[in-house]
Amino acid sequence: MTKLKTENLHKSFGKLEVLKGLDLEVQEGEVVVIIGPSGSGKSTYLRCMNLLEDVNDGKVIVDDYDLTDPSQNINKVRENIGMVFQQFNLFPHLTVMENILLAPRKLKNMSKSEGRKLGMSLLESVGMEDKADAYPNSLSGGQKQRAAIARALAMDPDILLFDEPTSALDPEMVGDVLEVMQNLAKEGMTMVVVTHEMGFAREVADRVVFMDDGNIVEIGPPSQVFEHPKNERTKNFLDKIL
Amino acid sequence: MKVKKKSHILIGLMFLLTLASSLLVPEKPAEAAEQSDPYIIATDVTFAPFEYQNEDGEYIGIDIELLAAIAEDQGFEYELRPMNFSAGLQALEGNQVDGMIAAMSITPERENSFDFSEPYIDAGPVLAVHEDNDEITSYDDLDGKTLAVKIGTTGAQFADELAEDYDITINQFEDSANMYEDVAAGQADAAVEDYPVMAYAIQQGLPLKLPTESEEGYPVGFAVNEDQNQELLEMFNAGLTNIKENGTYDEIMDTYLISSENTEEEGAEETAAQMDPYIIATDVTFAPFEYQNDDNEYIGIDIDLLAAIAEDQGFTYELRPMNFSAGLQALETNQVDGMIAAMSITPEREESFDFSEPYIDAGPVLAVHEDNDEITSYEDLDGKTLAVKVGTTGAQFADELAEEYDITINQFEDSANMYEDVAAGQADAAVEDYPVMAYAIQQGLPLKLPTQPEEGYPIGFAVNEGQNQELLEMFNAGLVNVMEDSTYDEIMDTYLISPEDAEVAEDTGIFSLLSSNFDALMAGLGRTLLLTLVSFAISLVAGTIFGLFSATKNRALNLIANIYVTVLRGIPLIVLAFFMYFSVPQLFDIQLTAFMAGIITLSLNTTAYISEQVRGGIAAVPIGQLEAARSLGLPYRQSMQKVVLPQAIKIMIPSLINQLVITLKDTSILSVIGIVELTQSGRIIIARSYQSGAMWIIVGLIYLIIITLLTKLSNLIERSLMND
Repeated sequence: MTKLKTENLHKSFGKLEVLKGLDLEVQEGEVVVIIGPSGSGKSTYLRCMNLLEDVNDGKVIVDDYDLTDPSQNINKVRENIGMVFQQFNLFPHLTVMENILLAPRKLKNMSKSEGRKLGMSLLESVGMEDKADAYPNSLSGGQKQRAAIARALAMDPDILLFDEPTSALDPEMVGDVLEVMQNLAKEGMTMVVVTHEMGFAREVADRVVFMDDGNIVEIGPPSQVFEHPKNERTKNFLDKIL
Repeated sequence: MKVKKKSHILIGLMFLLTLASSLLVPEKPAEAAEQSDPYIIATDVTFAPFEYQNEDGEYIGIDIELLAAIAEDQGFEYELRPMNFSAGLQALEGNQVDGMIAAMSITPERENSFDFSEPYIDAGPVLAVHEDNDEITSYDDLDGKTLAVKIGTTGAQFADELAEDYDITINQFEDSANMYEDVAAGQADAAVEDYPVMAYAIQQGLPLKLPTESEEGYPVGFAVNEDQNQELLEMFNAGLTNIKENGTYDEIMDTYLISSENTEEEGAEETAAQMDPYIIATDVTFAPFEYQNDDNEYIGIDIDLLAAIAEDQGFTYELRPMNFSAGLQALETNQVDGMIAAMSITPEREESFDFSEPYIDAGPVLAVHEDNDEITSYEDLDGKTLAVKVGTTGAQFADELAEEYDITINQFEDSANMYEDVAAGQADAAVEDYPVMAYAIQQGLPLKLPTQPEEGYPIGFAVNEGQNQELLEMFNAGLVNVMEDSTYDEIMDTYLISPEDAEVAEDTGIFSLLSSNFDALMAGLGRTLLLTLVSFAISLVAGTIFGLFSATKNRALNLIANIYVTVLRGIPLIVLAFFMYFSVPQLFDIQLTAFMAGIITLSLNTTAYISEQVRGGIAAVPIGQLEAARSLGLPYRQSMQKVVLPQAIKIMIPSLINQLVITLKDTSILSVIGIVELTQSGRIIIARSYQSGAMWIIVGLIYLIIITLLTKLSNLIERSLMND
């Protein structure tokens, strides 16, 4: 079943067209990893999927809801799509627990005790239960990103978007975060991940999307894209980074 | 967008240039008659309606037209020489000009130096009410009403006098325009101002009218130097008579003045109700002779002396403080039995009144800094600098001294500045009427009197000619008695410092000034703080709203915020205050108290600045914060409320503290619409105590202390927020 779909997606910043008509269908429970050189538009593409970026043309459809339809309540749809950012974007004035519970408490009128229970279970799942009442600034990068993942899960979404989740981390922290993501994949979470971690892509992705210059150049299972790339540009890119 | 902005700037620049060039259009020189021997006539630069420039830069006004009509009538040529009023007096005295016409009051001092024409107008105070006001037709109708006055004028004195008789609230202003507007806007029920000035303002379209006749004041005349140009003076008088007869005079007056609508008789002076106590007129305020202390009781040399003499002679009396010239009239018309008001015994007055023996002499006296032991006689003034007040006998005396010695003269418009000039060491000595100077020193001025006062007009108690002779006899007898026992000396010691007494009364330093005015200062401070805190609280809310407007992606809201900030930041606070207090009530037909107008003004202004700080604060929060909140499904408003604003506020705190301090200091500007906040309180106390030096230090320190405390408190709040 198709969980998330983009149709002929166009996006421009001023006169610069950064996405040039992208089509993609993500199935339920599928992990799609988007790779490509910097400036290829992969982060912008990901941010269009929950409409953090306005779309100039084309459609974003999630669970049969057309996000680009102005009458669509975007906030309602976003509750179902969690997002994890490169820079974590934890709220510095709130504790880890408050970060996690801000949305459920506001949007689901969750009680304090109920929220606390949910928060603790989410923190356990990312191995952060001892940091519930810490402020973000006292955490390491890896801890911050795991807390951010727990926050992204707080509204119990069906889809998670990862925007280069490990790029801002010290190398020794990367493993912990990838492990958490891998666990989520195993549990059947639908995920779209923009990353440079080719190991993760190879191991966890169901499909790999290679983007260049605002186009999807190649798409397929990791074995195919990594071992037998059809397109010259894919080959060049993989040669450089592998 | 950039092009658009540039064009705005360009339009603004062009506007400014046009404005500047229109201001730079050269004045038309008033040298029309460049013939053989024109008389040079000095006039003031600007004093509407007597002399002022019209839009074409030509001099017009009552004085100008009157002089023109008289010159035409008498066939003489003249050349106008507009100059500063006091410079004109000097030029006349030095024969640099032949005559002077400049709304010049014919005062006894000036009559010593100049020869005056017949008076051509009288400048007594007059009552003015809103043109739609049919309620006030006499002074009696002022009961329970509010009067607007200009500080320090005869109008203000007259209002004080009215307030003695009726329940009147007085709004004090620094200038005439604000006072008029106060009435026009319905804030005050009536204003009191010199008749010609008020009549002109009404003629210019001020929506006021004059329900009563004007009070008598100093007459105004044309002057030549003493014994000079007597033929010019004669021509002026003859011409004046002629133009009065042929209607030209009335035409000129009609051009510039509006006459009193209502010719009911003057109602200020109530007839003496009782027969038994003597009714004694005194002046409203003329320290040290008569003035009100902090408890609003009348004290002073005259008051104490009269009390002592009445006690000695066993008569009862009732004091009737009124404007000095009104007192003279009341005495002349037997509405009062006697008058004690620092009244100089001049030859003119002796024709109308019977005077007691003089009880003090008001000649000029020299004063030097208390540490100055160098100057002990007039000879020591050679090569020194003297401070004088323009137009006083002291100034005349200084001019006399300057003829004998090499003396530089610093001229001042008021006594306080003159004193300070000496106290600060800018001038070596000051010259002032003895009782006034002695009182000021007694009040703590660090000066001393190295010489005896010069002889001047003696001062006496007066009754109407041939009337109340038994009162006069009792006064004289009592005066001898109180002079013999020590009562007289005690009274003089209370108010004056004697020339021999080189020491300054010590208990009049900053601390006693502070303690004796503590309540008034604290009341002012209270209003300052109330204005600040209320305005700041309003601005915090409104500024946040406008700041959010400019932070959204909504173009319309951006524009609203942008216009608001541009307009409010572009208007000086003082102009905004005038607009709120004077224009708004007229434009929208609503009543605003000065305090309300002040709060609105300050709030509007502060809101503009806070909204910019909010905008900046929001911009300083990383965009990822908003994105993270939105990606969780939180709507924009909640995302701003819960995520962005709390962080923005932390960023804004230092600039908000700064804004709070600025707002507090800006409250002082609101004194212009008559709010008695801390600065205005200081000003009022100075008018009573003459201690501007010490008072401004006190007021400055109070601001400093309060602002320091507020800043410390704010820093504590900031720190506790940051610790989160």
